Amino acid sequence: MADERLLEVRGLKVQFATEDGVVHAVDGVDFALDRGKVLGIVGESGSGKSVTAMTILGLTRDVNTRFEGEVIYKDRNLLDLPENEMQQYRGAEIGMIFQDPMTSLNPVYRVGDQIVEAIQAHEPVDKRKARRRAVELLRQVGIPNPESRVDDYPHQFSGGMRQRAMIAMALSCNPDVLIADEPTTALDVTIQAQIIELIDQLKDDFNSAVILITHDLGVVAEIADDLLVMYAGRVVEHGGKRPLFYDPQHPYTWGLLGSIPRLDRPRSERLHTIEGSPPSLIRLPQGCKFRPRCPHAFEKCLEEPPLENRVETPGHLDRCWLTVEAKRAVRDETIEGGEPAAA
Amino acid sequence: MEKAWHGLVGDSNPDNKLLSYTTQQDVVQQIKQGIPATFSLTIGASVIWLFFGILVGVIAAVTAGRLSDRAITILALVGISMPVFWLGIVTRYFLAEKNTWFPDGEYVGLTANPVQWAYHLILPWTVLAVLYIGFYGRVLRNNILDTINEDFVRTARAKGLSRREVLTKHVLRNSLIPVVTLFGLDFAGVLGGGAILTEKVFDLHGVGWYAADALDKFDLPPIMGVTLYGAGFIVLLSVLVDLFYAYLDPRIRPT
Ligand SMILES: Nc1ncnc2c1ncn2[C@@H]1O[C@H](COP(=O)(O)OP(=O)(O)OP(=O)(O)O)[C@@H](O)[C@H]1O
Ligand SMILES: [Mg+2]
Repeated sequence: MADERLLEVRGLKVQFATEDGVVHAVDGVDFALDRGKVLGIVGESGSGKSVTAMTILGLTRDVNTRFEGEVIYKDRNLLDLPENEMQQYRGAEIGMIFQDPMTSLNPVYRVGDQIVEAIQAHEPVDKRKARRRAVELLRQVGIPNPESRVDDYPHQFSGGMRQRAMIAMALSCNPDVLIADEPTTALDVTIQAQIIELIDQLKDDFNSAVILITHDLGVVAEIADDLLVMYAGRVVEHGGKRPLFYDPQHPYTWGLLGSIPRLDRPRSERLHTIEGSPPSLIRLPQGCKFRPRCPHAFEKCLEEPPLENRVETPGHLDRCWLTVEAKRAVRDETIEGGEPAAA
Repeated sequence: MEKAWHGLVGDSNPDNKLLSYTTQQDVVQQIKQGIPATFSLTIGASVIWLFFGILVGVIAAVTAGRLSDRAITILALVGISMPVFWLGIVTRYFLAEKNTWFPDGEYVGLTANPVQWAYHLILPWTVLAVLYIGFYGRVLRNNILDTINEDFVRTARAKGLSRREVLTKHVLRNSLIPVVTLFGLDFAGVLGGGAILTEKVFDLHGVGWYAADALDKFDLPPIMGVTLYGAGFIVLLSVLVDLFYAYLDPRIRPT
């Protein structure tokens, strides 16, 4: 079966005008998403992951926001859609779940009613039918006793259950794309794994595609097909999961890989961290944006490297001037522990 | 309490009634007589101030930072800062005396003549409401702007609800909760005879007017009576506010 292209983002730029200056939150992001696939987006805090995701849904629209590029969903550019048409895409075609399930549900309405509201926003079904579907959805996401829990208020749910309810709500109109923005960051580790597995399984049940955003490579390692590494609003490396884990090309990716805790390393060894902090998005450094923090920077890095395929694997793109040989020679000491940190 | 009454009212009062020093009238009876005027003033004014307070707050919040928001903020400040007795006297002078568009004070019973009742009350309602409209509008505006940044509002937008649905069902519902407390206590205060100035300026012989009259004459028993009566309303409305709060916010309901 040929891959069905659902979503394609081309040259996306998002700028916020603020009192301090123009924030270049997203500064050149390209990717494509096919049905049945999971795209992982990773990057440090502030690298523009959430802004990218929210822009796809048109949630960053504002008088002070400027957009460039295209967000093509099934042949339509969502960036051009007027607000009332965009509304019909939100929830129905593209569903989204957010980082903090404790605050993402409205505390004054019953969980079931909030799911019913999502269903009724797009489908002309009566309340009773919508409610039955809400119960069914809650069952599908693994809420025990959904017939009675559907009438609970959010505060009566645990964090993990709330995130499950959020997933149920996001999937209630059977969207083709599910965007999960750090869905497990606020949850404890055992629940994290369950939620990730649930998302992966529901993706198959609902025959959709998933964009999974996280700053933890370990989380996406399991279910992602492709990975997008973001730094300072732009993509620094993009490729299939395996090539990216086994043959990472960008020094920033090495840093991320080095900061995954691993059982095969002695515990006394400190986790590798990336020195320094991300640049100001108002006054970006000249050339490669990672240059000020990069231990391997040289003169050429004052010029911005394009996002290109530099290795043998097609479709594996990166934004670094180092030669492939040089990278392979130096990266393992950056990642630490000898071999690449594949899970 | 019994004894205190006796001490105050003396032997001339075998029924244990609280009597005015100056007129020897039964205080409870007098307060009862003032209730229709005070209730009419309070209920009418509170409907106006609640309606316009919410309207003004929503408009200011929706247009936050723009001209209408600034204008509303300034007007609200003017409204809050204007003393009731000044505004009352000015409106009465210009609208009821210089031009006789409105009746010049006094209260007409609702049952006696509903049209005259409302006609006589329009000015005092408006004057009393102006203060609260500005205040409520500002509180609500800030509540809305806080709530709009909540995560659940983003969720509501991500579901595909329209701007209006998001605003009314999710933002407004949550930002009105604190306004309920304010309203309960303000309502109780005015109902309990707190609108002394408005009642005095417009010659409405309500409970507040009665208290003001007693204050003029250093007549202690009516003041005591009105204070107790007012305190009763504060207690009653506080309980009602708490109950209503539990209705609005499921998190504080006993389980
Ligand atoms: N409305 C806005 N106005 C101004 N700046 C904004 C706005 N929204 C986001 N930003 C800025 O854009 C940058 C990218 O933010 P974003 O939320 O996308 O980061 P992120 O990669 O999701 O980080 P995290 O891992 O912390 O969620 C941040 O520096 C943020 O301060
Ligand atoms: Mg984020």
